[in-house]
Amino acid sequence: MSAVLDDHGHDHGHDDHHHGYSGIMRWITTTNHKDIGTLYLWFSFTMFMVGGVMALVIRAELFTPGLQIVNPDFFNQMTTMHGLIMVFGAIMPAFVGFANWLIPMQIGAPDMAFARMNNWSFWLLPFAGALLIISFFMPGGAPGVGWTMYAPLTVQMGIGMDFTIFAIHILGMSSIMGSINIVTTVLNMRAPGMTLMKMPLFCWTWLITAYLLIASMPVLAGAVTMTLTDRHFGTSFFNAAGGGDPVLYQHIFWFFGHPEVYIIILPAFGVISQIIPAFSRKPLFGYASMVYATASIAILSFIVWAHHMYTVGMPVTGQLFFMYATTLIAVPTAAKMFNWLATMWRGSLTFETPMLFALGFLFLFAIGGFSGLVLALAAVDIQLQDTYYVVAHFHYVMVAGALFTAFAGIYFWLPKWTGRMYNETLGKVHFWLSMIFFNMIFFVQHFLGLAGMPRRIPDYPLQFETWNKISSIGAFGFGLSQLLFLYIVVKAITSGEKAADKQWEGADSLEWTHLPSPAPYHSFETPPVVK
Amino acid sequence: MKGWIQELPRQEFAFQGRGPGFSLLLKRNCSISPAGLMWAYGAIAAVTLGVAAAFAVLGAWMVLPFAGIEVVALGIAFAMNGRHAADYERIQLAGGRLLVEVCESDSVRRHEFNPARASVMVAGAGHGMRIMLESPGRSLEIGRHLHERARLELAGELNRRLRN
Repeated sequence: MSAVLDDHGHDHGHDDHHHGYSGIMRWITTTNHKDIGTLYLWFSFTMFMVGGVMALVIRAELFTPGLQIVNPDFFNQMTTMHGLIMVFGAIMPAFVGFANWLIPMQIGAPDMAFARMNNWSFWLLPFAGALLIISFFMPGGAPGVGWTMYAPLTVQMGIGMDFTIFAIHILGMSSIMGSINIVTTVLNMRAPGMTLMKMPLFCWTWLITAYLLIASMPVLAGAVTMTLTDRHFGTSFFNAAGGGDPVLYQHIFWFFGHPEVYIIILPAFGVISQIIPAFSRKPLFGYASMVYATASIAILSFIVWAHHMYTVGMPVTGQLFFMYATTLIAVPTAAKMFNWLATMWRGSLTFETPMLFALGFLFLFAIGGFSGLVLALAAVDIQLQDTYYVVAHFHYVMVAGALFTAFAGIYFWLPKWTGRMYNETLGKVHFWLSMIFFNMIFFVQHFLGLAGMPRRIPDYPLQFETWNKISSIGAFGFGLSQLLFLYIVVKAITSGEKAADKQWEGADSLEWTHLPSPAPYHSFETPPVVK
Repeated sequence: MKGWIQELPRQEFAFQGRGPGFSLLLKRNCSISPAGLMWAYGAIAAVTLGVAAAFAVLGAWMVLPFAGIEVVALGIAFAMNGRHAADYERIQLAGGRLLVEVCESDSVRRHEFNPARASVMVAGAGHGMRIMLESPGRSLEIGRHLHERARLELAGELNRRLRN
């Protein structure tokens, strides 16, 4: 029998510490997947706070009718940058942080395949984030075009638009490098015996997500580059006056934009698929069908983009195609929901904070899914296009779907990452505050949308005041609740009780069964054998 | 609860054979075959370039160069990782000869030593530590696929077996 050994970790020592620089230089030069995962997560939280403050400016302005706090132009800048920062700066990096921390540990690898590239992937992000924020201080301010950056409005913006385009390029480069790293790691560095169909579902969802990123990111890069050349180099890709087509931009953007939704939500599905079995003390029900459902969702995500564009003018046959294709996504998504519920069925359930957030996700993501089905119907969507119903829908998917899952994941893996346990009572308080305030913000926005309130407006008729007041109060409550989250995490890191190696009885992936808490700086220099 | 992933006891390296002879194979851990990797690459390259080509036909040709750069970057990454995926060292003591076969990238080199005059030396320490198979006038680094602790174990075990 041959020995199957690993040499990826030759640069690593065998103690439990990092080597080389200390202080800030340690973090700048680190190539360790755990360090980089930590950096991603803190960057994500910082951007979450920045984007959250922008959301509070929006909700403060919308507290009552009339213009109170900001002018309409600045309001548009807020909505634009809130969207861009939350999508590209907060949610995506959060799940890349999870990937960095967990994928090597879950597949039994010593690190990511390209450790230095991993460092570059992260350190591009602060520059991109800075460019987005600096754009506010440019002549004309930040772009106020919406996160979708539709042409031809983008051509009319000031220099802040160029900063944003440059930032998007850098963020895209970071995502591509991260994706290449993840695909190479998962395909090449699994421990002996860990076949693809034995991988934890989180690794599967990230493998598929990385493929989605690789396929869709060049489309976004092309779109913003064409916007740039239309602005400065005399091209007319999207300028009708020069023979271009503004609708082409929408097709290109949404061809990226819809897979982007799944780029965000698929890793969240992976996190949930780790947590629910752990707190049900049962293996995940229907593992294979979960993998196939994830792949099906990814494939379908490429043929539904124009459901964002029913109102731009499209043949009825086109509307029907995109309507049916979109509703088809409900099938694999429902299979996932069924499997999560079946995993809990007759399980030994307990309701610690990660499980509460996971259940909160199930409940709220189902609402977001159903409102998505409503919007998929062309005849209905034409009525609801660009109303607050759409805002409510995608926040149920993005916040309750992705953000709640990120919270669930952080509470779940914090003991493994830090070796310290968070305060369970405070964690549960954080969950219930988030749950109540989230619904205060967004559930009522369904009513506003159905009543006809348009999105992206700083002023509105008096009839919408009550629901807007409730929504704004909820927003401030939700924002303050996240300070509690910060306190819980910092408290756990600094003075939490020591966590057990296998803190959660039902957790069965390698990081729980094989590694101590906290996970050592270098883990799996020799891969375990899995059967 | 019994997990669905069960870990087996780990063997750092395992000598095969009984009596005076032995055979030892040391290789990297690689979890995908070259054909599998080609399939994985072909699938993503075809989709990415296909999408970009479709947009180019519709007039948005600027998607294509970005897709091309990305597909090339992924190819380089796979090639860099895969170039040494099948590397191995086979150390055999048979018929009074000590044979070391070293496969590196696409070349296989065979080295023969007189076991009566061969010994294993440890050079350096810490991260730069290497183990060398030496006989008068010759020296060959072995155990490059092992981490430092396992290299030390290999050096000790090989020396013991060579002395016997």
